Amino acid sequence: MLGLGLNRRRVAPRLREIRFTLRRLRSSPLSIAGMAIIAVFIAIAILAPVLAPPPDPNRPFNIPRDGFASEPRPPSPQHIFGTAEGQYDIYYGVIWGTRTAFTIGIVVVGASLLIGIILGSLSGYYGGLVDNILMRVTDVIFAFPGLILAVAFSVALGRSMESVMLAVTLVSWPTYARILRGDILQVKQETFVEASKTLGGSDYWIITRHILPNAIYPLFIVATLDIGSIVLLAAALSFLGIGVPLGYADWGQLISLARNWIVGPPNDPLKYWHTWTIPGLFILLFVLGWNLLGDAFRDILDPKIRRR
Amino acid sequence: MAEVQDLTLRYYTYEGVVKALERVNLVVRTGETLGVVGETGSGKTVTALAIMGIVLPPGKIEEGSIILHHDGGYIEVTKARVDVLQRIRGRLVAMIFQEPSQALNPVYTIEDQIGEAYLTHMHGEIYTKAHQEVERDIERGGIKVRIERLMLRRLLRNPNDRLANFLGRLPLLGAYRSRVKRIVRGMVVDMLRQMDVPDPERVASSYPHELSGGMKQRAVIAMALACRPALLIADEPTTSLDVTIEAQILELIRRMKVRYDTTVLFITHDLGLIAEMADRVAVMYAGSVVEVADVKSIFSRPLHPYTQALLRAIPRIGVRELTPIEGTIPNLVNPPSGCRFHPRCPYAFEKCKLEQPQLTMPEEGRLVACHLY
Amino acid sequence: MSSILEALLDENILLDVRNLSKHFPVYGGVIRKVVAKVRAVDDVTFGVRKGETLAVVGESGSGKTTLAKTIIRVYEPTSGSIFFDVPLDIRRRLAEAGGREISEMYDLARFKGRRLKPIRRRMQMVYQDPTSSLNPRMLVKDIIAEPLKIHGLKVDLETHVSNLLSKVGMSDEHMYRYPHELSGGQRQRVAIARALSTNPDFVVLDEPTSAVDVSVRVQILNLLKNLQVQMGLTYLFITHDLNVVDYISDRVMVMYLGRIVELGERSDIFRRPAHPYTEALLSAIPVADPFTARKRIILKGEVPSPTNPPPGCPFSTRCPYARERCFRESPMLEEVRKKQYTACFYHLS
Repeated sequence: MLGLGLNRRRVAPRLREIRFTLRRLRSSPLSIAGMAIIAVFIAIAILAPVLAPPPDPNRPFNIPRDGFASEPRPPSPQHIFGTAEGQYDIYYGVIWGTRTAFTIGIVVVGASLLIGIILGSLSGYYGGLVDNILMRVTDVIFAFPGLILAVAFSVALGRSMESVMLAVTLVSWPTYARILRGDILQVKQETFVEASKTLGGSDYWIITRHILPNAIYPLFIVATLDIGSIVLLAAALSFLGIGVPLGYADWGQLISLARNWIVGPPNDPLKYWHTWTIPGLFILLFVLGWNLLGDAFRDILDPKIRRR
Repeated sequence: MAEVQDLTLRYYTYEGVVKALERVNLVVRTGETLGVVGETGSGKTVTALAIMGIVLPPGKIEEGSIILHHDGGYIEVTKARVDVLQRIRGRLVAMIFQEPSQALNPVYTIEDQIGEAYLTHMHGEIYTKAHQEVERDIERGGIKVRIERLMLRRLLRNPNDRLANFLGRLPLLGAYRSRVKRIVRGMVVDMLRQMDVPDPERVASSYPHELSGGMKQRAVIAMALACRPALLIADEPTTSLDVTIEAQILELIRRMKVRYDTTVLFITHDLGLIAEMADRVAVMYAGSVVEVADVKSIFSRPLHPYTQALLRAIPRIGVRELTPIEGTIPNLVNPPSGCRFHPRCPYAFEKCKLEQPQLTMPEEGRLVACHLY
Repeated sequence: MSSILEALLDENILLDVRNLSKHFPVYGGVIRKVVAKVRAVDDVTFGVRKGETLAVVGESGSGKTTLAKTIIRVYEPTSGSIFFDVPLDIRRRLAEAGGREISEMYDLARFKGRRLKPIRRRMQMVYQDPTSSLNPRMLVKDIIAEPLKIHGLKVDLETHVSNLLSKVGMSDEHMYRYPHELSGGQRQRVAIARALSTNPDFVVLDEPTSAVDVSVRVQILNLLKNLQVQMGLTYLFITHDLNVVDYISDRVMVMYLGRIVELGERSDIFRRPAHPYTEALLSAIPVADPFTARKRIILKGEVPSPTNPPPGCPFSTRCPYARERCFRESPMLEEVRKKQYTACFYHLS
């Protein structure tokens, strides 16, 4: 009985903090908009099999083709958003493309965060030679334009969704390592870190118990903002023809298929608007949603602004 | 000199309404040094800022007034327009803060910062000096000097004269600008010398980070006194300084007060400083004034229970028995009902919980806000 | 100097510090050469008796905080020795042959890494600012229990924390709060509870009451006094506030520019200071008594920079009694009265 009561008390302050955070989240119209947009996308991703039933359940990411003609057909009752070059159904593509976007976004950001956190922590906490080497490595990676580097990795690794993800991860982790390193350098100087040393804490203890929990929040904010940009980068790769295989449900891929049809015949230049507008709109809204959410998080989690 | 009447100030924050000041009544008499004693949450700093007309959002003055008397007239600070306030800040009322590093802009030299005070408020003196110089040089100089003379004559009549100000910005009249700069620098160095700053020329050209704490505080005091304000508000000016430097600064403030005939409002939590510097003392607790008396009476015969408890609770050399004050400083979002000190007061009775006591005069020259009197 | 060393050869001495120095290098130039040294602590020798409170006073630049942190091994000493709870007969043999080995085994200044960990259970520190010395994201319970977890002590954490909280005058309900939900005074109590978690013998307190409200200060001081008696603690109390020193200390050590200038019993220091700096310090404190007019000694100038201390006596640049010898030679700490040591050629006794 005593145990139960005390456990409730242990949970209570954390709950209070979470509730406070949620209340702050609800307060700003921008953050509500961001959450709403992302919520819609999550719903689409989850309900993909219902919204656009795959003709071949084993290969849901293959966009069904209605014929092989090259000229895209406008929206019609059979194809709600019309078809792209090669008669790929755009509606199906954008619905299942949502799943692809989330997959890429989350996996890539997750992996980059993991690498970035580990290397950034070592770099920031120990300094010296370790720091120097790691920073020079990140310098080298930064020296290349992200897109070019991603293209190079992609081509080298072959054309598939996995290679896209790997390429984008390799290009993204240095940013996180740098950010975390900076925050760690700052937290390192806090008195409670020194206090922990005085108590006898080991390096590992101090890093995991004191430094990381305090340094990691700005990183999460950046990571949230990044999900949008990473999907954008992946879409760019697909647009360039590198990345996912032809016919794979991916927004970038769809825009790639629209490449030759962006401007129609002289008398009707917007004839094929549906081929690029619709996938473009999906990308835009997705990135916007994450950006708004990231901004909202930043305002909320910054401890100085928090208590206003 | 200054009167604060029934000042009530609230902060509307996320966590609730902070009732920072509740009917504060304070009188600063011309020529005196009034010491204001209080701890965290007493409202002493907020009151001082309010006298300067600085109420930062989310704060709002709910009621009450602040009146500054000057030159036969007076200014109602709570209702004054922004431009009026800007003119009195620095000129009529000046303030020095606890942390000199915060009051000094790290990217400007001392000369620039103190000079700013002169340029804002003392044009008359600057232009007069410049004009005198120009008159002397008029024989030797050419057309540029004549233009300068014209400008200065117009500026002496009206500092906002548009033609003169426009001319002053022209690249050709660099001599004019450097003349003004030189004069201002002279005034700054002079002021620093009065502050007992060794090597004032070098200090004037220095940046704040090149100076020690004591030196910075002297520069801040120089900035505050540059325009000979009638009222100087010092908010914990020596808390961040070493004891031996503190002694120097206090001596300096005393001397400056005599020389410039300034009224001083000295805010601190240190009763030792109060005994040293103040003529009269106002004790504040949790947003209101609880006792006012001359400094000797406050120490020998404190009337308010808080003052009594405070005197018993602070470490003093030679005192072996100290009694802490029970309880903690109240949360100002939900202050205790009635008298805000009643939960910690050994003499509290029923009335204390219900009604907040007002300042009454139980004896000549003393004010107390307590139901015991 | 010899008399100080003699005083150290007492079995009641818990902490024996000899010739301790801590210098910080100042790097300059493109290749980051060492251009200068900040002599934060310069050749300091003293002892702390079991169960006493030794106050270390000084202004900024005196080195008192650096001294505390060096003793507790946050910093590694540049030179000198620290002997913590080393029996008298062993310390006696330091001067003899074989002293080297003894030094290796017992001198805290030479310990590194893992050897320091057991010491940290017995020497603890309370910091000045309770807000920054507590991790804002940790619950009070975890903060206080941290040393137990670090040292792997097998106790029921919750009961232990609960006991500590009541020892420092707080209740169980505070266990599950975050630091920002507590007042300044309460946070400092939590910091004290944390320091006492492993039942240390020796506690260094770095200005523990400076960041706390005046009316709460006494509460903390009384608490510290009681705990000292209850738990048999020895305190090294760093402060610049002489009023607090008078209330809480047994002996007082005055520091200036990294050196000890005076050391003695509390009443002697306050009533009959022998060093001009101590005299000036005492006269500079504002006294809460408007009735007595005091002759205040106002020192000229500022504290010299620790990178460039004056040749000779460090106080010579500001001393009102300085004479020729003071600018050339540096005085050593000598016994001027019974149990009172001063470093001055023309001391005031």
